[in-house]
Amino acid sequence: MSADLGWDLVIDWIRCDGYGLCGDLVPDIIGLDDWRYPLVHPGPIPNDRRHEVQRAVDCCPMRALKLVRAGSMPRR
Amino acid sequence: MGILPGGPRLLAGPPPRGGPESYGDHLARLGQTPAIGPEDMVTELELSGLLGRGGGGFPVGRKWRALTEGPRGPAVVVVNGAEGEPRSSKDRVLMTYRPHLVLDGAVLAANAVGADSIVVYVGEEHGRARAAMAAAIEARSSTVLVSIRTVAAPIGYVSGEATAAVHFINSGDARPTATPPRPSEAGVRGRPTLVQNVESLAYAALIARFGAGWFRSVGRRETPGTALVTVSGAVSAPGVREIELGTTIGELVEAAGGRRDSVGAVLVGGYFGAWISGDEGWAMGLDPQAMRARGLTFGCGMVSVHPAGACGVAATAEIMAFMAESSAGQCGPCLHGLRSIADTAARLAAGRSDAAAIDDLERWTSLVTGRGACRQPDGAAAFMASAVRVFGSEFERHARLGRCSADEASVDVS
Repeated sequence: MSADLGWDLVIDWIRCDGYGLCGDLVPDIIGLDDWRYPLVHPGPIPNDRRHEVQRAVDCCPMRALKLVRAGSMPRR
Repeated sequence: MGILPGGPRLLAGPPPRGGPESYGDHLARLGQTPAIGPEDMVTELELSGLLGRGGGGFPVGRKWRALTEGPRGPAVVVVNGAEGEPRSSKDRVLMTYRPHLVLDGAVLAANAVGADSIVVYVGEEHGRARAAMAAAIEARSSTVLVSIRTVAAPIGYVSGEATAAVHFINSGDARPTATPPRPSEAGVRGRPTLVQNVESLAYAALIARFGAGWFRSVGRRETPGTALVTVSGAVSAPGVREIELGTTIGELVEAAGGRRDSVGAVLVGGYFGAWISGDEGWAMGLDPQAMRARGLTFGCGMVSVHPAGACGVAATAEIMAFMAESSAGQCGPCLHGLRSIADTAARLAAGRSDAAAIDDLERWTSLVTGRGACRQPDGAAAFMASAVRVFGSEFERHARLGRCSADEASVDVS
């Protein structure tokens, strides 16, 4: 049931070092701020984009990103 | 009208000049720690509506309830007296003069949440409070069944944040950690941990004795009770006071020897808090619920009076510099964002910036919120947003003319 709601991107801010690869790979879903830290656009990530975003998650050198079912984790 | 109609509660008893209340005096005044079962204790706290006094304002009963329903196994209670807030001293005053009331609350908390150890975590710079707590622990060492130890919290604004406190107790590193897990799930030595501010614990000790009905008999319906506040700035008698919740800023400032015409603005809630103009703030009640409705926070009960005619941009820049410096430096948006905001605010204050700087400030402020392991960036952003709201015309004047009306006033007079 919850797969219909899409996916949330959870960022471990302590791990993230601002490499910015995630934002380069899916710029319409993950923006980058002035220091190349991710700015996730509001709202869940739709199912049909999941694999692209998963690739961005896998590319993170700091392993700071995680895709979880929408609403399954608190927002922070 | 007085600011405390029913008389003091947390600060009832012998006058502070006598130093810490001894165990004997405490027992003579309030009797033994009540023998109240875990369920009754938590229910009483829930009925009381007591909100946490460390800054977050989370309902204390709900917090204790989560631990009784959470993971099994012995829990830990952390008595949080780190008090790293620069203009707050109410926690150290309470620990210094009423250490046994705080310990009563800690023992009751341990009993309620099934903890077999208590860690008293007091700011290392608060020497008298630490000495009073240590002596109080010593005085009742033969009567307490749980283990109690003290840990000196390192100096620093974020040391008292719940995950930072747990992190320091576990490994000597007072930087916040990513959540989940929350301390209530896996805290000190991986065990479920209740991190509770000293004032909240002291109040729990009174509620255990006198009940939720007594607690609710003063204050406002939604946010009953009294609270400790620290008044600083443009008043003749600054310091810690106990007030009935709902007392207006004006009543408090007058009780502390301030006058309406000497108040330019007021910083409420802490450095994590917000500015409110003197006009808006004077009649506003210090009531967590009502303040939240206005986008403000009661926080740790800090009320700092910014003098009329003084430069709000400079005052803001000074606090932002502190917030940027006290970032634990772990999370990029907080590290870079707060530094950028602080540097820009400092340049504006010095009259070395233009209008684009105000746009930068507003953009960065909106960028950092919610983007960190703890709420340091959120607090700094909310503070900065309030500064632009309250001192907006001053900011513009600084940007346009490179100086402020505080300078102007002195020029006009001479």
